[in-house]
Amino acid sequence: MSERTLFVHGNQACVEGALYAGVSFYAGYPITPSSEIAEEMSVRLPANGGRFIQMEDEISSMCAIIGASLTGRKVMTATSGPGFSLMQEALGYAIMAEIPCVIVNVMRGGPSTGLPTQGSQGDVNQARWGTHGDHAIIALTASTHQALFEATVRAFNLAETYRSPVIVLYDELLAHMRERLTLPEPGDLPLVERLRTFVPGGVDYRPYLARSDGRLPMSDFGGVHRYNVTGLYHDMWGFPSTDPVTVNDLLHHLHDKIVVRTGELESHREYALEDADTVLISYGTPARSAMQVARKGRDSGHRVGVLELETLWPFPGQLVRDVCEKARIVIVVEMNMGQIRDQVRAAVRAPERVFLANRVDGEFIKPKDIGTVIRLVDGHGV
Amino acid sequence: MAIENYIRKRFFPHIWCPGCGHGTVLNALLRALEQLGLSKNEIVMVSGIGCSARISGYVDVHTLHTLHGRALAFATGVKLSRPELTILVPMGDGDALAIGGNHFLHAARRNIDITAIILNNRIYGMTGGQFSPLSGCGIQATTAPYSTIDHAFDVVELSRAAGASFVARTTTFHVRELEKMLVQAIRHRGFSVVEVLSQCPTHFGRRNKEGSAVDMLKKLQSKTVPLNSRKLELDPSLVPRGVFVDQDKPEYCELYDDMVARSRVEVEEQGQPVGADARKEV
Amino acid sequence: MLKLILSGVGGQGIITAGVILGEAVVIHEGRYAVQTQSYGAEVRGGLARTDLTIANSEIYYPRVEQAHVLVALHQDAYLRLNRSIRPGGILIVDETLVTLDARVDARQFSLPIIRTAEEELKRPQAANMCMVGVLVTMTGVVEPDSVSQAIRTRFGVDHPNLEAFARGLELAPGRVLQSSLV
Repeated sequence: MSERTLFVHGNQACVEGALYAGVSFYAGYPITPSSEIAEEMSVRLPANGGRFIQMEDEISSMCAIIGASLTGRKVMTATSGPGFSLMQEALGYAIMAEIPCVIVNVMRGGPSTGLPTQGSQGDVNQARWGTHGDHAIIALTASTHQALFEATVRAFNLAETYRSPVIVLYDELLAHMRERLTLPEPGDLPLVERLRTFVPGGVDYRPYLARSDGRLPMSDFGGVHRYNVTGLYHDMWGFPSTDPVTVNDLLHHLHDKIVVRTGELESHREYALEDADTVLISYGTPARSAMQVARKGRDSGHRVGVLELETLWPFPGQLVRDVCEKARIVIVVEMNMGQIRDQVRAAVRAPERVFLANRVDGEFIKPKDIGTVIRLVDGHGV
Repeated sequence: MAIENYIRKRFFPHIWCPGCGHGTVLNALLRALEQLGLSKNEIVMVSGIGCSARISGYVDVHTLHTLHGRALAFATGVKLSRPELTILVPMGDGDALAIGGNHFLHAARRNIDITAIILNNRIYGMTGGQFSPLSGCGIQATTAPYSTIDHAFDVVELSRAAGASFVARTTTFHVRELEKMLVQAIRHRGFSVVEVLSQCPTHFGRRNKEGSAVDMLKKLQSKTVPLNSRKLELDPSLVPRGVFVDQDKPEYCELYDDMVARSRVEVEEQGQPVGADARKEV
Repeated sequence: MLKLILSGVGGQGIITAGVILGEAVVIHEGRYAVQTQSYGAEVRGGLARTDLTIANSEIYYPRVEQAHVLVALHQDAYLRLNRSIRPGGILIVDETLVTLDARVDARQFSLPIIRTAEEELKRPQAANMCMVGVLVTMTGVVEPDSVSQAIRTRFGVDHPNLEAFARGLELAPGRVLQSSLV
């Protein structure tokens, strides 16, 4: 067997993806169920020229990766709900100052300390709206280790492409379960490297002037261009501004660079959707149960299909609307009180046909749980 | 290089009030940089939020104007990533020791090679005159209408206890001393703290009947004395100025390099580092 | 598809046993395995449980509700989990630490796993590898060679766990699982 086939937990799959993508700086603070990411990074990064630092909290972890990103490195931190809450302030800074970085949130039950060792998908809306002010964000997720590896690589690519923080969300179950991970060979997956300015030293470099394709070439701190980076509204040189036109343009830029690319950013997997009258929409490990239900359903003649979302934000409303167009019922399968269900309802033409199959007790959603909801919706009782 | 070359002229005039001590600190800092002969491209200035944090906008180096209290955390990321850069972090009293207190303690504990300059005017100026953790008791502030009951930190003792390897204190009156201390602090390899007692005539002076900026400067002159001086012996209520700590101590990025060397030995012996998961089987 | 639950108390190496079996199946045989675990907040002591599903194709649902095979190396685990076994399934317990309840609907096997590790091998911490050996013989779910390779990779080429595993292979009463399940 190939040495590149591993039997590892999800947190390691995430680390392998980050290393494949070229991460070279990690700052973090230990928190269950994400700590294995920090532990593995502390082994791997020093040995291959990278930098690992355990900070005093999640606030400083987020700040440190932003500082390191400005020097030209691909950077990442990982945490869980309570730590993710602490990161929101600096996450907003990375959005405003357009700093590429990847934030992994291994979701556990909340609110507050909640259920540290058990899974949840309660932070979906927090990823979207956790930091204050109008903004857009990219958040990816996965249901298998192979997909998590790829989502992590993609997160780095998107962070570099759009000069934006990118969030990788997955639940405790994926983090700690072990399954096969086959490492791609170098070159198998495309990598996006930092786009650096060609403007020579001594010539006016404008760090916040977008090219025609929307990308903003960067210059590393320590290089020939000395510019200002701030969390205030700023002009194309990075200097604070309250000029209404500058403010308006910047907010539109920050919003549009992501929201108008919803189609490009979208990624999903599907199973048997062509003629499905019952559509299961899911993401993360609950999608595995949805798949099991759909396969068994198909075996016994039921027209069940699965849409598994791999990009949660920006929410792929058009895709969801198209998929649900002919469905008799749509069931959103997730481990929260209906955070994506609400998005689906807002996206489709017939929101009254959208139902929720969830668990919020820290237990994994069983295929039986989904089957029960389908029976109830169909009027067959339990 | 003339000191004018270290500033971004087009961003003047600055935002500070007439009589504010922050311009004096900026002036001394520019002179220190000139004296050190550092290239502008090898300096990164990281600041947080507050009047003091605006210093970063005026200096023509790489500047990172960050979040309230978090400057040292951002600076730690920059420094560990590029240890060859010189990192300067000007902070206000609230920025450094209220909201940023924990980051300050841990940066000092790591002894990472960053120069922290605390511009201590004992008040929150930008937000309109609220008391700070360095105000001390009996001070009038907009959030202390009946005068403060909070004790103040002693920045020197706090820095020493937290592990800073260079700690100095002076005032905006003692400009030559300030310049000299900044030169020493920036040269020092490790975490350096320079506390500069500064005046805020607008919010502190006015409310506490300390008079004009000149009166406040005179007070900084008369109420502070050199460390180990006869005057201090005679009147221990005076505030000592000088270099309190100047210690040779392993610096964080150097220790990191040592750790990298240890990891390389393992890689040479095993072919690859033993993963965190397998290490737990011991 | 074969579904197993390995259980005991924290510190017995239950999770590691599950990982070794998974590595043998996935890395050394190119088949599929998914392993999950649960344990209490205690670092030592408290119920330890790992669920392992082994198959020749992709596995979706990762937990085990009704196990074909349940191993319990401690009385607490036995009492808490004996209803998670399929009627007529295989239940393997440690002879010293578990008292069998005849009402459990399973084919129950009580074997001196811990005693063998302690007295014969003089290595109590290797009881988990001994248990893996027992499982491999009784289920035939994975080739012994694959497991030996997994042990060598994880612990080292001459590690005493290899001996413990080999002793476990012999300790079992022979294969008891019908081959169609694997």
